[in-house]
Amino acid sequence: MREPGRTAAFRDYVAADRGRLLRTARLLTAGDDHLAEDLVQTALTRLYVAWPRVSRAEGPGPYARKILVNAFIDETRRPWRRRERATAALPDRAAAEPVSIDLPADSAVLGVLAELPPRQRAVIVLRYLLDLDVQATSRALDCSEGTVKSQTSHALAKLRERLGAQLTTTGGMS
Amino acid sequence: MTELHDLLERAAGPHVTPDARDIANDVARGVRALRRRRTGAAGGMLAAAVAAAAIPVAVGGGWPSASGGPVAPGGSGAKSPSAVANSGPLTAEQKKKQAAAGQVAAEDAAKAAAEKVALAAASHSWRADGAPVPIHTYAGPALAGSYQPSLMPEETVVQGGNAYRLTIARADDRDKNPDSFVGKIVVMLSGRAPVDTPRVVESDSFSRIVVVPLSVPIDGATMFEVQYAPGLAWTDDEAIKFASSIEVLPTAKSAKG
Repeated sequence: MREPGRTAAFRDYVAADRGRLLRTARLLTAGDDHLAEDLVQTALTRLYVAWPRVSRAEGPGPYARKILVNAFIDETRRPWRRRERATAALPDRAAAEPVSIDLPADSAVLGVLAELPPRQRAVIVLRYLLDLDVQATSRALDCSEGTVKSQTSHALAKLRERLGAQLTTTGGMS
Repeated sequence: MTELHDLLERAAGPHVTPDARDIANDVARGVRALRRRRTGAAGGMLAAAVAAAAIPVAVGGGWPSASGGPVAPGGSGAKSPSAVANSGPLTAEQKKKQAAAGQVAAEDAAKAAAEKVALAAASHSWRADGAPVPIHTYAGPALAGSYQPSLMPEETVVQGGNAYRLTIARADDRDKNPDSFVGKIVVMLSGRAPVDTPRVVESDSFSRIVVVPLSVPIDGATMFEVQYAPGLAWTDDEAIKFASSIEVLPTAKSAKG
């Protein structure tokens, strides 16, 4: 009975990790909760299909993360996303003013993330939210370690410019 | 000093534990995708086989000439470039392209067909006359698991029960997997917003959901829910009548992480 086994193991994984995937997706989408949910659903659906192979290899966590990031980058390539979209509420942040380094609002952090190109945003989320090292990040993004380092450098420069020069990064630096 | 990790942790929002329905829906989407993929792969292989069978005929018999007789591949006679391309033996690359084109078309058709089947299972009436599926008293032995109905829809079977869910399906449902919920009836604990009385809280073309408050919380849940296929054609009252007949035992578990 392979299917029930697959389903039971998948169910356990979803119960344990769905919340983390959703938080990751929320940052990748810079606070777009609906798109974040869509991306997580896409990632989990693909994960279920690939489950036997995934569970034998690197494990479901890294694979789901990789699918999630790929789905996000694919989504940003869609033409309709390059246009303005209606939102349920007006943003409550100033678009160009630097925010206080003492207590940057969540919306300000999401706002700065939204200004980063998709791959830079993904690098920041993978390295500094999930604390992945350069090697794991390069695997998740399917790019070279050098690309990860340069993307990280560009993204951090932008974050420091907008959130304050005293921004520290003790995680994800290896 | 501001630590980036802390900022991101906070901006990512609270950690939301998935409820049973989130998980059930994730499983259902995965099962549907897997089924589509398998159906598509089977269709693709069939198309490739058909294409492969057609190639020797075209190559061996050649293409008809203007006089009606076959022109041997590579035979003499003035031909346009396109005629040359069409009449000569197919290269390995051409064969591959033909097979691939056939496979893509077959996969698309198979995917569409599988989606239709899934939709039909979920939304089409279970009865030929479109009437609601009658509910009768269940007087059989206690079911496995933590959900014990005293009513049961006619012509249905219990596919499986445990602490997390009870799955009921049409007797002739070809999908025998109790963890596949499309087009079936599933009972499980619910993490939805509390209600005072049983009611239908959601309805779309795939499923309808009745939530029923529990007299005492079980495994952190204050309600259970019955997700059922619209094909049962039940009114809200009928759905609530069936749902309210279910006793949830204290051994029930909520599918939370």
